[in-house]
Amino acid sequence: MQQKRRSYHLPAPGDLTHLRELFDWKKSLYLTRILLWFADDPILGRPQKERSSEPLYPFECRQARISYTGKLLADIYFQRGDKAPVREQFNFGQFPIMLMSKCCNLRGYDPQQLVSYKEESSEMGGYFILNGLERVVRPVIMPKRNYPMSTVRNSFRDRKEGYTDKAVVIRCAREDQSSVTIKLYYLHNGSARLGVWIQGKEFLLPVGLILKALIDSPDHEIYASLTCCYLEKFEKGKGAVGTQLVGERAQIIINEVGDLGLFTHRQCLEHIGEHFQPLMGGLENEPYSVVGDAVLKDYIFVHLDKNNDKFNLLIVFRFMLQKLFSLMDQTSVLDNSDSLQNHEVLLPGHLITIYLKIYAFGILYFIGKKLEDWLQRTKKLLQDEIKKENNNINFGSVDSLKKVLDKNPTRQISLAVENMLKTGRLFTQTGLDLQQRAGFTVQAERLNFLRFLSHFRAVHRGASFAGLRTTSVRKLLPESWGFLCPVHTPDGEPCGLLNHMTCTCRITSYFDAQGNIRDFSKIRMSILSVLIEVGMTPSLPRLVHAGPPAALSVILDGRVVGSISSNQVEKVVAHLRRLKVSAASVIPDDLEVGYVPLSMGGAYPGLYLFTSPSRFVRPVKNISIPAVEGQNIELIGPFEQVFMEIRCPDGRDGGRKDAFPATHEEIHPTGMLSVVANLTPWSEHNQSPRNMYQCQMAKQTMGFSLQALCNRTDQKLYHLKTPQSPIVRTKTYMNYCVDEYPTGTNAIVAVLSYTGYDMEDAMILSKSSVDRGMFHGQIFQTESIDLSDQKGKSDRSQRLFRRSNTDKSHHSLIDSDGLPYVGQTIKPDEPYYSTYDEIKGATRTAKRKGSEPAIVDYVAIDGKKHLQKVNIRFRHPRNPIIGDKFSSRHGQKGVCSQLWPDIDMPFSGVTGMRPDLIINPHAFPSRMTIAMLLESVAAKGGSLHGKYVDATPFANSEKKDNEDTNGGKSKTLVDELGEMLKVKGFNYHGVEVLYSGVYGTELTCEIFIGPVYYQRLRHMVSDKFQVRATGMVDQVTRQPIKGRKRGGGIRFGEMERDSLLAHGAAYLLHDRLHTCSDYHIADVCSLCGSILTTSSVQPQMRVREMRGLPPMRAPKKVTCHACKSSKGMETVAMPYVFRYLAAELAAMNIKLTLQLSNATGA
Amino acid sequence: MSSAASNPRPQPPQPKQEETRYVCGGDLLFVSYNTRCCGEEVSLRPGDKIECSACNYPVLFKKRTRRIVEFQAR
Repeated sequence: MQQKRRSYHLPAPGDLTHLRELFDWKKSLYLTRILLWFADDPILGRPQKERSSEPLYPFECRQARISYTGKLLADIYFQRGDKAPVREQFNFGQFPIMLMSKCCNLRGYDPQQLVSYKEESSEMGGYFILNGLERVVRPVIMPKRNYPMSTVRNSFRDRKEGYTDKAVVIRCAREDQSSVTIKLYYLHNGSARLGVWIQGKEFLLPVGLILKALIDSPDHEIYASLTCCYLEKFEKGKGAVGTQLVGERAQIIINEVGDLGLFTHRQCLEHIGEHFQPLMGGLENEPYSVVGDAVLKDYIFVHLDKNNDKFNLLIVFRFMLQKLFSLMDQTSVLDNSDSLQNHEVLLPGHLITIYLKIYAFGILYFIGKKLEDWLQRTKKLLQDEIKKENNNINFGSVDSLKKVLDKNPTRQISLAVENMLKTGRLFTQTGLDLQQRAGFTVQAERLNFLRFLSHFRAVHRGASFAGLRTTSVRKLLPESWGFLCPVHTPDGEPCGLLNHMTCTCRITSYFDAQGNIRDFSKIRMSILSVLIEVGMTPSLPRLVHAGPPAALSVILDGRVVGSISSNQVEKVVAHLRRLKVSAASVIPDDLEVGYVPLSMGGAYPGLYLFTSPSRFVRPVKNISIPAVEGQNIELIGPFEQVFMEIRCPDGRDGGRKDAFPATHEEIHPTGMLSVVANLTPWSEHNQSPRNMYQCQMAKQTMGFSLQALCNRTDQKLYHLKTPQSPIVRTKTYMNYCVDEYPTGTNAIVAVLSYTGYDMEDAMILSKSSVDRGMFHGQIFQTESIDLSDQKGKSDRSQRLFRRSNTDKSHHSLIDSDGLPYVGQTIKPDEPYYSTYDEIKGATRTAKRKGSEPAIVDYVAIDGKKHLQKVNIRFRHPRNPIIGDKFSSRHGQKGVCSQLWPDIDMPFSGVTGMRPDLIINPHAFPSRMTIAMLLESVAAKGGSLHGKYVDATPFANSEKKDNEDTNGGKSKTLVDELGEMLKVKGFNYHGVEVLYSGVYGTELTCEIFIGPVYYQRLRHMVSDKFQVRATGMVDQVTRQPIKGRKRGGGIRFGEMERDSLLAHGAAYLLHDRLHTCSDYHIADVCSLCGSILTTSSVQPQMRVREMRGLPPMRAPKKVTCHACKSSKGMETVAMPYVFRYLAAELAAMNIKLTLQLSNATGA
Repeated sequence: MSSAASNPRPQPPQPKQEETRYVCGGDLLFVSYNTRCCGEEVSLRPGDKIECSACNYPVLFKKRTRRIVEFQAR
């Protein structure tokens, strides 16, 4: 069970062993005669303790608020001229390690071992620990790699004069996961332009130029190659993509190059090289043709193999052109860039790899520059020696360089990655072909298990879409069926952008099941040989190929590998699918066989095969293959799913026509829901928004958050003390072992209007039930205090924990070590630890903030020489009080309005039972949460019979084998549940006769009562209440400040003011806005009307010798400085802001004059 | 006199330093996980080096106070 959950849990191992791939470039810098490259075996060490070789474990990192990192060592080769390369190891700093990845110290531990290392027994890893906080990289949706996508965008028109809004875009990904996006724009004159982004700028190249630079063949061959997709006999037939316009366009494309004065292959290459030389670093001294080659290699179709590249490039290029032309001629439709069909996902490992790559590249460049400098300097000194010995000159340089480099710059690499994971922000100039720069990582909150799990199942559409006005990206499209959960998305701002994968959805990985790196080129070769075996014509030797109606192109990971005649292709697809499923074949089980059939102006036809990692896949049954030991489960992707015939497992055809028989079948209908959505019992009986609310609330529930709770130092942890296992549960509940982290209580719920305190979703809790422990919870709050790193402190005084021996007033609260007693209750504003400053020789105590008392849960001290680093964990008891929020599992939330005395609760006439909880019947009619009623009946039956009730949704959409033998119609769900009650002598409908607890009389109606699993949500009044009589005021305006934390008030705003005005409640208005706010009595000079020029002179205190009387206070004397007199001084009550306004206006040279008059009138 | 000059701020007479009792936080570590060795009780005075006396593990947990702690049973 554990294993099962583990494999489902992780979206994909974001292992950092991608590093190997990264350092495998063998790519050297073209610095003057010095070649540098990385050796292909970097060493990523396991996390170790500082200054010792003992392993560092994650729990220690959490405790000490440090990062879980391992040392990254890599070798760099140095070569100068033709001499033998020298290899030298460099330290690249402390690299963040993902938990449970290959370098993690916990890898391979069994649950018992995990527990002994203070982890959860079911720890699944997949996150990083940075400064003691757990952070996950959130997968982001990317355009599908290596697939030319036809796009229409208005902004294309603005590129230059003559551009249309249509283009074909392909995101080409290299083996190391970095990518380059290329756009092929269509021009009004029939030609096309290739757009490439190089160093943050887009360059637009004529298509003919590229074509000619790619291949050295005569113009008529190029013409033939471009026009081969059009045959006159197929025109306007089914699946014909070419039109007669193709020939004209080809003509224009070829003529365009001639107009530039370029006629040969070499001329074109040199033309490109000439224009791009300034951009290609390190190629300054190379001939133009070499530069031209490098441009084609580094920026155009980077996903292709480089050995026989030119030809492949040309064919892919031609394919894109044909697709572009067919989009123009409307023989194919554009691809929807918002649908999951054209999407893949960016995984943590890939993100880190491509981020690391630019930094590693920068370091290489840096080292090269240093080497050059050093060589220049020592040239004269060494020149003679070198010539004499003919030794490898770099050797000496490496040694001295190492001293410089080992200190800082090389370690920057790991630091950069760590900072990226800490902040989720990328710092690059190029943008890495990603659409966002920030928001890549989020903190993995352990509020409860479901929330934690959801962090790993969530997929974000991309931060750039969040600000978009249009809502089309947020739409739920049918293409995402089975991959993204339609229920589990937050409502509000991120609605539809933050989705969750379904419970069966997985993401293809760079690694095979054994954790080894998959050899994708080998996989492709074997697929290729299979394809040729079944009759594919390889594209390689010839330039001219048959077009779509007759034959379909086969595109394997963005390479056009050949074509298959269209009457054969379906057989080939079926054959490939069979091979996919069979264990013995070389074809990987997650191969995506995207067969786009011929159609009249539909999607551009072809056979698209994908083997790449980071695709979505999900299992379905292939019914064309006989089921032998589950050997018919096929993994399909969102691209191929659109063109497949998959039926529901209810045994019917789903309204399919006979011409298209189903080839596949869903395994279970619940496969379309996410893990959290799957936990809602009988969710198919609920109105769908209620299920969405439940997904939200399940993630806000106070539950049994962690089993290793005693070892945790999280800043805030919610914990439910008395959780229960739900009586009514789905199969997923068992599969995912949610029982290890239960989130609620089976409360006896009566649906009646009893006290009047249950209106508007309020609910009444029985006080005695609460006293017995129902919904009891607590919050743990950890405070980490490290006295050794006080950054703000300028004086280098050392502080440590110690209590004062002279002042004994705090000894009842602070122990002899300067820390609180464990188990002690600390009230607000009481001191709880004291520090001793060694230089000042003074002790200071720190006071507890907040508004409620806390109990010291534990005090952990961390060994340094002095007592300087401690973790103090506080426990806030949070038992239910009026104002706390609760919810059932059906989106029915409510606030506790009363803790009703047990003796006054209604009681059952038969059993004498009193409900734990009373809700108002009005909660049901408009919300239509029928499943909650079912749950109540089922849980009642289940508890009477002493067994759990299975509430898996869509149970009757499944074909049961014994359905026919059961004798016609099977019983309905309500029948089944009602029968359970009837057997035990209860009412079939779940109602009971209740007596009033106050009067002892029978209630006129029978009351629906039964156990419902209720969750306690984390929103509690104790964290939210805000009350103020007097308190802090703003310095400038003297108005009350805002903010709950600082004891501020709630704004009495314009709308509130309006309502008081409308009621004519003038006194109240005056009280709120003036007396209780910034009431001020100002001295105003009635002569000049100013409030700013008056100032009071406090006269000397003249003590009058008068026995028995206090010294009289002389009256305050106020003078106006402008008028130089004290005449005409008046006191006027006004808001203080008015005075401030006068001062501000005066600063702008505007005088504000008050004209005073009596209240009786001017 | 001379002693007073070298120590201008005379220290108040040091009362007997009280000990605080801790439990080693490194239990189960450094050994195979099924032979428990640590969880050792350590008593420290102010100024002592902070580590377990048995296994030198640097993280210690404070023991619960032996004073009477009252709770509101609610």
